[in-house]
Amino acid sequence: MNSNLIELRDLNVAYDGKVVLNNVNITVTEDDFIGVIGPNGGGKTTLVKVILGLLKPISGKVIKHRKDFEMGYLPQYNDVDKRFPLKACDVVLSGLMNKKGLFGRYSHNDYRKACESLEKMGVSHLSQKHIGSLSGGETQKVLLARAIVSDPALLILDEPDTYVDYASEGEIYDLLKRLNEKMAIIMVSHDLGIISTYIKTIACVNKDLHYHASNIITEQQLQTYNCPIQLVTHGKVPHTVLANHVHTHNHK
Amino acid sequence: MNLGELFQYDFFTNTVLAALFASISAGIIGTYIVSRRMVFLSGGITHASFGGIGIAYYLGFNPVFGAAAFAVFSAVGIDLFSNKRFMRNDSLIGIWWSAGMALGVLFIYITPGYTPNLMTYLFGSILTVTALDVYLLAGLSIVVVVFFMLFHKIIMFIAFDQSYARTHNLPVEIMSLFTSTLVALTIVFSIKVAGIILVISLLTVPQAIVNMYSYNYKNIMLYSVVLSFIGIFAGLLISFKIDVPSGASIIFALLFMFLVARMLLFVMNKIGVHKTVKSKLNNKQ
Repeated sequence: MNSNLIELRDLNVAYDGKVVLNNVNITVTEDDFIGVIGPNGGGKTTLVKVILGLLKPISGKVIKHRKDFEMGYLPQYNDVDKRFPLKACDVVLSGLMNKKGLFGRYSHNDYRKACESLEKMGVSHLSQKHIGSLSGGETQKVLLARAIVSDPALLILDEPDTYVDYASEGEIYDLLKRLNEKMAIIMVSHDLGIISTYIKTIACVNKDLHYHASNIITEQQLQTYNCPIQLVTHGKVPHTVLANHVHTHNHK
Repeated sequence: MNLGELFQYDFFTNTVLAALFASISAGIIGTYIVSRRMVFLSGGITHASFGGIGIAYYLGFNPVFGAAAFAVFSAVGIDLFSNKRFMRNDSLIGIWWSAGMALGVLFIYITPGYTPNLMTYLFGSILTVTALDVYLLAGLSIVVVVFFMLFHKIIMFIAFDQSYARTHNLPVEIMSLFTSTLVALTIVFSIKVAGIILVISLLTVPQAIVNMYSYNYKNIMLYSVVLSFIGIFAGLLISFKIDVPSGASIIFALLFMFLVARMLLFVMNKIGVHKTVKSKLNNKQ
C-alpha cells in the first residue's frame, strides 16, 4: 500500500459566483502518475492551483498527509514571461528559493544542483542562455528542471506539451516516466492520445471529477463521466493508441 | 557659460545631487518596473499623485508629502485590489489615474490666493530643487540600494513568476507591498526632476537602451543608473545653453541616446558583431 501524499475532500471552487469545481474528491499517493483531462474551461488548471495552494476553495479541504513535502510546478507556457531578463540557470535556481531564507545567497551546492537538474533534462548547454532565446521545447525543459531541482515529492505539470515539437514531446514524457520512480506526478493535458501510455490513472475534470483507476479509457466511459474530449490518436487508424497500451501498460 | 561657472551657483550643486540620486533610484526601480511590465501601473501612480499635490496646496503643507502619501496609497491599493479579481486591472488603473488628476486640478483651483505654478509639477523643474528634495532623494536611494542588494534574488524571482514563488511559501505579499511602496516613492521624488507627465521615461528609456544589449537583470540596473545620470546631466546643459524647459530637454537627451543605441545595434547586426536574440522571440510573444 502506498502512502498518501495529499487529498482533496468535498472540494468546491467558484469564481465570481460561478462554480468551477463541484464536490471534488481525489487522493494522490506517492507513486501516482495521474493524467488530468477534460474540456477547456472544465477546471483542470483550477484543480492543480488548489492543490498547489494558489487558490482557496469556497468549501472542502486540502489535506496534506505528509508534513512539509515539496511540490514542483510547471505552469502553463503562456504564464511565463519569456522576455524577463533571466538566464536559464537562474530560472532553475529560483526553484531553490525557499531554502535560502530571505537573503537568498546561493551556495556552490545550489549551483551544482541547478546544473545537474538541467543535465537531467538534457539541456545543460543552455545554462547561460537568456530564456527568451530558447525554443518552446527548450523552455519547457528548463522549466521542468526548475520544477524538480528541489527534489519534490509531487510534481505538477500544466500542459507540458504546449509549443513543444513532436520529437521533444516524446523526450519529455520519457523523462517524466523516469522521474515518476521518485515522485508522484499530476499532469494536465488536452491530448489524451499521446500521454495515455505514460500515465497510470486518469482524472476527468469537467466541473465534476471522475477518477478512472487505469490509463485505458473509451469514448463511452468518457461520455458517462460527462467529459467531452476528443481522443486524439496519431496513428493511421482511429484508436491505435488505445489498442497499443494494452500491451505496454502493466497493472501493478 | 561653462561648467565651472555653473558649479559656482549653490542651486546647481543641489541640482546635480538631485540628478545623481534620482538616477540611482530610477535606474534600479525602473528595471523592476520594466521587467514586471508595470509601466502602465506606474503611469497611473504618477498621475494619481497629482491629487495629493492639490490637497497639500489646499491644506497648506509641502506638496511632496501630499504626493508621496497619495502615490503610496495608490500603489498599495492597486496592488491589493489586483489580487481580488475586483475588476480588470488596467481599467482600475485608468480610473485611478484620471480621478487623481481631477482631484488635483479641483483643489488647486479652489485654493484661495496665489495659484501655484502647475507647470513645475507637470513638466518638472530640476533647477529649483530644494535641499529637502535632495535629502529625500538621497534617503530613498540608500533605502532602494540596500533593499535591492539584500533581496536582489528574491525580488527578481517573485517578479519573474509570482505563482511559483507562492508555491514555495515565499513572502510574496509583503515583498510586493514593499517594492510597490518604493516604486511610488521613487516616482514622486523624481517628479521634481522630470515632471508628472515626463517622469515615466526616466524609468523606462535607460532600461530599454540597456535591454537592447543585455538580458542580465543586474547589468540593466547598473547601466540604467549610469545612462539616466548622463541623460539628466546632458539635458540640463542643453536647457542652459538654449534656454528650454529642463524636463523636456532631459527626455530628449534620453531619447537621443536611445536612437543612437538603436542605430548602433542595427549597424552591429549588419556587420555581424552582435547577434540579437530578438529574432527567435518574435514568434513566441
